[in-house]
Amino acid sequence: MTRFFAAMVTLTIALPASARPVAPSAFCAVYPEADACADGVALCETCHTAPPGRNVYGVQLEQALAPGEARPLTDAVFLEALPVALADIEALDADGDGYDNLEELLAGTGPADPRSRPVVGDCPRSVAANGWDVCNYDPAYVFKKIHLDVCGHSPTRSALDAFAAESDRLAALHEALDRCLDSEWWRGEDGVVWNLANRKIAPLKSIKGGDGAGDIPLADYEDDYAYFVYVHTDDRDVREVLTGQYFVARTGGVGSPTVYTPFNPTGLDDVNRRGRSVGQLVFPPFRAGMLTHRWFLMSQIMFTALPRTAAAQAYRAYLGYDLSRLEGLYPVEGEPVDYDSRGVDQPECARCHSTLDPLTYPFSRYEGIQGGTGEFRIPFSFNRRRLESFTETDGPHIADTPQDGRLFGEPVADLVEWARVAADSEAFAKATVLDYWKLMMGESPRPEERAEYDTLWTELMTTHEYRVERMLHALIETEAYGVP
Amino acid sequence: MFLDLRFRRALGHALIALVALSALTACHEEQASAPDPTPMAEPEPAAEPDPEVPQGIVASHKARVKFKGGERYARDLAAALELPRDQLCSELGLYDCVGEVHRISLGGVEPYELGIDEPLPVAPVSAAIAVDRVALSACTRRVEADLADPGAAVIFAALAAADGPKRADLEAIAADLVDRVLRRDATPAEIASIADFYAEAEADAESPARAFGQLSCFAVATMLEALFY
Repeated sequence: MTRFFAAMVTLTIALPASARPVAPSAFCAVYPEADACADGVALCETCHTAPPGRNVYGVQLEQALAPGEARPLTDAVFLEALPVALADIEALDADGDGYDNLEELLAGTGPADPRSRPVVGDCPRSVAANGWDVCNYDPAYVFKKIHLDVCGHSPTRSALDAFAAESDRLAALHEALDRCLDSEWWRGEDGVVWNLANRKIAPLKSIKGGDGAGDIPLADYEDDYAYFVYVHTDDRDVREVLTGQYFVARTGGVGSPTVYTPFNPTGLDDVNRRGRSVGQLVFPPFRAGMLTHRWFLMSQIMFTALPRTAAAQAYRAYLGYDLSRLEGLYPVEGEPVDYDSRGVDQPECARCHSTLDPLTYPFSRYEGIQGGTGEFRIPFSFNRRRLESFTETDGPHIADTPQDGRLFGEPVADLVEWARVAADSEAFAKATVLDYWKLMMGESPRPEERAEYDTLWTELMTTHEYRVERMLHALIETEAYGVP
Repeated sequence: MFLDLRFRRALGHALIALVALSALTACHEEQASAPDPTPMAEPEPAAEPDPEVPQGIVASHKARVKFKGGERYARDLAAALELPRDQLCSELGLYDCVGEVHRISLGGVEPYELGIDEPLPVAPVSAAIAVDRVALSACTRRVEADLADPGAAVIFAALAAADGPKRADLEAIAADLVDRVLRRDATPAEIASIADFYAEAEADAESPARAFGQLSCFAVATMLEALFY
């Protein structure tokens, strides 16, 4: 609940002016050839830690930017001063790694990251004496990492010796990965993949239904975890996390392999079979993967007519765009209309709400816990006339809210189409791969690793046919993972 | 191997722990070690040559090293010492050190009640203390079991000899510990460092064999190589 209210507050307050939507493109107008500008707009991380917080390069830039001018700068002053300020700090070395800022920008390394440097150090004369081959892909190093990352333990001494004697060590790495991908550490309850879903599901035990129910059982997030692990493992299309119209049951575990089994209830039979605090209540044609699971509708829509929190969470969790950090802004002309009379059409709010509100409309026909007035409505279900119950609480215009909306600025007819467009987007592929990249590397891609990261998410959409495990087989062959 | 210097530091660390802890018998006794002020998961910028890296060793320019985390570390340690995972370490004799008490400190998550969805971005100072307690508890259990029944001992049978262990016994224990915990051959320098430590244990401890077993095991089990990958 705390998270919900925090998100509401974050979205309602005026956003800070010190992280500028105009900055990323203006930066790239100066350095179009920089790796950080590969997408046409600079990565936030070029100058920021978490916007508006600045990294050491951003601090240098801020100090050089229009000195003497009153803060906050207007966009016009900022844009005029930026090229000069960037030039002024080109010869400086923000991260103190011995390479000046311009050299790092052009080499694709991070000017704010002392670990990211343009020149590779010396190479060992003897890999055996050195321990690892720090200049090349080292299969022995990867073998150990696969076991620790995916199996959850170091390889045994005998396994290491057997690997060293392998004639085709690359093939042996893929075999090891396959074995580990079937381990309980990876795919079981509270396993690695399960925990990747934590931030997307945001569980809360006190309102859990089903096994181990909390004091106020409203929904069971175990359905969400089981579903997430199911679509992220084996030979399954990961887009179904947003587009699937079925559910998944988990059995086994604790001494036996965990088994995930899809099931597809229709109507109210799931309530009859599994109980009122657990049953999934959205009918199949209106289902959109985890976005219409009972837990998501309960925890993200709750009592609100226009569930902006639900849209923002879906955008953040599955597409990697955090609107509270000014990410993923696609302003729609004429928006926000302010159907619920919240004053979001004020200029300070409209900057984000011109994206957020049309993003939200398709969620508005799904019931949360209840809210509004009038007769009882079936919670956690699809209800085309839902907003008619909110005119007394949210103003007369709320019922005019359209069901269609915009995602990435493009029209979508309803939430099912919203989810389909989202699942097919580059943003979804990038966010999916980024989750695994951070898991396996321990951090986001460094500037010099962007090309490998880009290849992974591009191939997830093409060569790998949205299969996570195929992507992981490619990931273990990257330099980022395999060069110590 | 550049690990040699780090290993010597670990032995020093072990001696500090010996002094700091009032009792070595089990992890569940009162905690008394001083916090290690060094954060664990912060790789230092590699702008300057590391004075601890011996000449001839080329360090990784990436400096990408991950902490194993509590559960991976516990599983590795349990396998190395041939102890059941659930007997590795328990606070107050009741609560698993890794899975429960120090779970978050050691990089775990608890999304359901605490809302900790991801491991902490930087390991807290208590992580070093927690690792110490897990390693010391596990090593103590192995030593006590081996000394109680030398015939079925896993690592430390030679320490039970009435006239004390021979130099060759100490070197064999050293090699075995490195093989089990680090899963590689020990270097001559590592073997010598561990074997030499017995003389210090003889000078300082009431029960040199027991102290040597506990602390040589502890030293290897808390090397950077055992904790990070």
